[in-house]
Amino acid sequence: MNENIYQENIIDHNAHPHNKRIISGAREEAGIRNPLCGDNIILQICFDRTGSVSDVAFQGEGCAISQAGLSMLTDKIKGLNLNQLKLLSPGDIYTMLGVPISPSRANCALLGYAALEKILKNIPAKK
Amino acid sequence: MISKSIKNNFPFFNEQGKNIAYLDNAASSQTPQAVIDGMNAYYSKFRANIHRGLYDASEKASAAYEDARAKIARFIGGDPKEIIFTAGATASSNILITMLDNSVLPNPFVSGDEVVTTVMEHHSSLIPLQKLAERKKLKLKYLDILKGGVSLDYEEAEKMITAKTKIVSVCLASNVTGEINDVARIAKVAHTYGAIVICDATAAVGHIPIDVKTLGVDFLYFSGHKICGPTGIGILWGKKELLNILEPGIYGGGMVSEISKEGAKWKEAPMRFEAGTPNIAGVIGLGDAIDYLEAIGIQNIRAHNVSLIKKTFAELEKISGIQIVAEKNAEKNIGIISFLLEGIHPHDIAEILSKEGVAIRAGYHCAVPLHRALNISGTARASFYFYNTEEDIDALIKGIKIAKGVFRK
Repeated sequence: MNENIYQENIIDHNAHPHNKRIISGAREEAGIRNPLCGDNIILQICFDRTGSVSDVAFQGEGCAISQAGLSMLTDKIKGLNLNQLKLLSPGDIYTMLGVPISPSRANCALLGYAALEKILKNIPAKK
Repeated sequence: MISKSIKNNFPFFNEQGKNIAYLDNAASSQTPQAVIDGMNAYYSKFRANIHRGLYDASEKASAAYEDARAKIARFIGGDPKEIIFTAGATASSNILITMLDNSVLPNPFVSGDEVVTTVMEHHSSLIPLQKLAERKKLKLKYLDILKGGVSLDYEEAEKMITAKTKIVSVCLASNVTGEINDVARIAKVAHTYGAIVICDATAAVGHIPIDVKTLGVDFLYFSGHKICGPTGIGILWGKKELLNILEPGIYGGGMVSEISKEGAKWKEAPMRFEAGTPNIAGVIGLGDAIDYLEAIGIQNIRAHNVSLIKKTFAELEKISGIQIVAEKNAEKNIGIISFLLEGIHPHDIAEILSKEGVAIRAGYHCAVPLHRALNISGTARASFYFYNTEEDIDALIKGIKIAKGVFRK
């Protein structure tokens, strides 16, 4: 892996993040704050009748690592069902980012993942 | 300017390399060998508890401890009996508010009374005030900054402080904008109404001369680690006549004049406020740090910083897309410049700069209300001390240009 974390793909996702919009009336939603910098993001997910992700979006500003992480995560989870979502791990996020993430930036890289976890935790309670 | 060879006094620069541009001094300064030696001497030559041992090592430790207290008192124009050692500015702020809360004041808090502070306080100063206001049902009022600037609205302060005001708390300098506040002006207004004036001097101490009498405040505090001292040590200064009517903030050994099953009476200040075995090595190290700074001269440190700030303002202004979050007047700046770069998050700036050997900080700097008042999220912050050089500024500017290149899309 290249030492430089600001690879082309990170810069691209940061400049043109995927799925960065508001879903009005999304059933599942979680806000999370990056403890490092205080930035807030919101992740929204809609499930279809079969229990798969039919739509996903995020909002909120952040550093390039958190924005790219969210952009890639939201692309990745479209169409996944609950079990597949639960199987996702931080390692999957690091693999998608494909750049070395130092311990001090782990919170940035995993900001979207943390929001997803929050959503998943709330789902069984609702049912 | 202070000679570049001053970096030789700091083992950090020998370890990390003389070329590292350490511009995170507002978070913590570096430690000169003299301070490390002072603490080592205590641990290796006369390690013992203070004030109670009737043997040589304890007497030596007690003398070194009290000697440091006297140095610090002189350093800020106070009396040694007015210096309370704490674990740092945060501990000072919390203990002071607890002391006030525990005490029966001549002018006691009544529900509906007011506390006036500013939007530019560090969370360590602010949160204890918020909790006190909550407990005593006081109204916490915030003095804002002038629209389009970073300076406090002094005219508004004169209106906001009234006979209802019981406490006024204002920092001597902002840890984000570097703005040096006219604390004396605010203290004067506060005292016409009999309010207690608290000053957080953490960002300012060791950068400009401080005299508690000129400032006209009742309490002042700071940390040692931002002025070349060790971490985990700080002071709270208070006017003698106030300290001796206040209840302690913490209780324990070494602070009682009398004790029985029914209760206890306290020693005079400062002993009544220093329960338990203190951070003896830290106190000694802080005393050595004061000696070190005074040998360089606070006026020389100030002149050096002003020249660095002038150059930094001038260089930053040449960069397109930069927003400097400061009043561009070096004479009013303590040595801290926060900035924003269009299209680049402060964390990304800090990360790219770190690869270029430039250490800065990014985020809210524990001053969220100020960022809200400025209508910005985090900032990137470069902060200077006397061992910084013009080359450090060049490295900062070069790093910012590299960051812009990385994000050019």
